[in-house]
Amino acid sequence: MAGALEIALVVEDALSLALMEKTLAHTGRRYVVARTLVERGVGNMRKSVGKYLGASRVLPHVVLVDLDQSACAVQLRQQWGVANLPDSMLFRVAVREAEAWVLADRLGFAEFAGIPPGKVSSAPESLPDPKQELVNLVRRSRNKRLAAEIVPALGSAVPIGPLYNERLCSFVRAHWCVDAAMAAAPSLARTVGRLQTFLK
Amino acid sequence: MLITKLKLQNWRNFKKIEVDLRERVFVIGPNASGKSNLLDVLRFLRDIAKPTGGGLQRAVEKRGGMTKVRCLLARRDPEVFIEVELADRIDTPPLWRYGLAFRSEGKGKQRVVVSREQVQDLRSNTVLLDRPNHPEDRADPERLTETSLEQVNANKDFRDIAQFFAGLTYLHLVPQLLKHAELGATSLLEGDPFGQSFLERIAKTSERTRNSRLKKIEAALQACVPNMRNLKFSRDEATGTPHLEALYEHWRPDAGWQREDQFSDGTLRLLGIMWSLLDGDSLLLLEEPELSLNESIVRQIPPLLWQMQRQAKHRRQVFVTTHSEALLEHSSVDPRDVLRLVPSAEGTCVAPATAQELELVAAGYNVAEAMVRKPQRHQMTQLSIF
Repeated sequence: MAGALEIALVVEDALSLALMEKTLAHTGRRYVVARTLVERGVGNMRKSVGKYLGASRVLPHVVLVDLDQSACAVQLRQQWGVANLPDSMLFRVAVREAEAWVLADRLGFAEFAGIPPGKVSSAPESLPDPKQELVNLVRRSRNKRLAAEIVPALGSAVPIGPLYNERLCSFVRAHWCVDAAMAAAPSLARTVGRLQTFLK
Repeated sequence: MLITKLKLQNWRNFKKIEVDLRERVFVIGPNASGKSNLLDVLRFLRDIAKPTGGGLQRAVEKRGGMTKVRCLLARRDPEVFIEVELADRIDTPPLWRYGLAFRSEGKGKQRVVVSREQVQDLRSNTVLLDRPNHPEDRADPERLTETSLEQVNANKDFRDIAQFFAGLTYLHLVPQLLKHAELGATSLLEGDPFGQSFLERIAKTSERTRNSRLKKIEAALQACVPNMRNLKFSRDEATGTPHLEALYEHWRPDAGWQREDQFSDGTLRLLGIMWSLLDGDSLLLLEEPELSLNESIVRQIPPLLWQMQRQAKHRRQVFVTTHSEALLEHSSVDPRDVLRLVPSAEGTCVAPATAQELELVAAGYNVAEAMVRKPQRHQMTQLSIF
C-alpha cells in the first residue's frame, strides 16, 4: 500500500481508542493500526513508556494520555521522561481528559445526550473534571434510558454508569465530528496537526 | 522424550497443519478455534497405544466415529493423517518419526482401516515399519483394522514410542468433582481427565516419593497460598479414604487443619497441576490452568511450570491451552512456545510469530502484547447485544 503508515496505538481506555481511531481517519493519511494497546489506566502506561520507546524502532508508536491533574503537558512529558522523543514516537496529551474531546463536538454531543446545546461548555478543555461534567450533563437528559446507562447509581463509589464506555464509544464512532471538536479543543487540533506530519 | 514436530491432515477442524513444538507449548486462539481438538489428537494417540483397552477402533469409536474425527472440509481426500517427530531432548535431532493415516473402510461394516502407518528411526535413517506395503498386510486385509502401535508383537522395535504415547496425561481438574465425591462416583472416566481419582493416585505413590513431592509442591505453593503450611497426606482412620491436609496459619496452633474439600478451588487445581508435573514421564496436557485463579497467580504459572519441570525426575513436555493474557505476560514466555490458532474458511491454521512480532518482543513487549492483542475491529460493540 503506497503511503500507508503502520503504527501501534497506545491508549488508556476504550474511549480514547475510539477517539484516536476517528482522529487518525480524519487526517486523510493512510494510517494502519497494526496493533492497539489499551492499557487500562495511566499507571500501566507510565510504567511501560520505556517499552514504547524501544518498540517504536520496530513499529512507530502513537501514544495518547490524559493530562488529568498535571499542570500542563510540558510538565507531564518531563515527569514521564519523554521530553525528547525519537521521530518514530508521537506522544500526545489530551487536555484534562479524553472526555473533553467528546464534549468539544457540542452539537453532536447535545443531540446524542438529549440536552440543549447551550448546556455544553464551549471550552471543554478548561473544565477541571470533564468526565464528571459529561456525566452530569447526561443526568439531566430527556432520554432516561441513556441516563441510566451512563450515570452511576445513586450512592455509587464509581464515577460512571454500567454502559458508559459502550455508549460513548458508539457515539464517537458513529456521530462524533472531528472538525467541530477541533474548533473547541486545541489539544485535539494540535494532535491532528502532528498526525498529519508524523514521519513525513 | 518430547514431541518436536506435529503434522495433521483432516483432523477435526484442522485441514492441514505442521508445527514445531518445544518443552512448553501454549495453545492460544479464540473460542471454537480448535485448542481442545489439538490436544485431542495427542489423547487419540494415547488411546491407541495404551496397554489396556487401547486400539484404533476403540479410539475412533469413543470420539463418535470417523465422521466426527475427520475434518468437515476434507472433500477429495478421505484420509485422516497424523505424524509426529520425537526427540530425547529439546534442540537435539529427532529420534523417531511416527506417521498414521486411516480412513473408513468404504463398505460393509464401515470399520476404520489403516491406510498408511510408518515408523522411521531417524538416527540410522531406517524405516522400521511401512504399512500397508507389508506382505502380511496384503495377505490378510483384516490386519489393517489395527495399528502396529497397539500390538506388542508388532511394536517391538519401536516400543519407546508406544510407551511414550501411552504415558500421556490429560488434566482438566474440576475441583467440585473432588470435593463432592458423590457426584462422579458411578462414572469414573478412563484416564481420569477431571482429576476425580487424584487422591487415589497420590495414595498409590510410595511414601517416600509422595512426601518428597508434597514438599516440593508446598514450597512452590508458598508464592500463591502464603498462609498454607505442612501439606501432607493422610488416611481417614475409620474408612481408609485418602485425604490431603494442610495447616492454615491461625493463632490457635492446631485449629487450622483443613482437608482437600475445604481447600479453595484454585488451590486444588494448582495442586493437581503440580502433582502431575512431578508424576509421569510423558506429555502432560493442561486445559485452561488459569480457571478459578487470581490473575496475579496466573501470572506466576509459567515460572511455576518451569520450576516443576526442572524438579521432576522426568522432565515432562507440557501443553497448555489458555484464554488468559495474564498467563502469557510473563517475560520468560518465548514466542516459539506459542501455538496461535487462527480459524479460517479453510479450517484452522497455526499462525507463527511474524518478524515484526519477534522484533517487538525483542524490544520489550511481552508475548501477550505482541501476539495476542490484535486490532480487533470493535470487538466490544460486536459482542454487545444492546
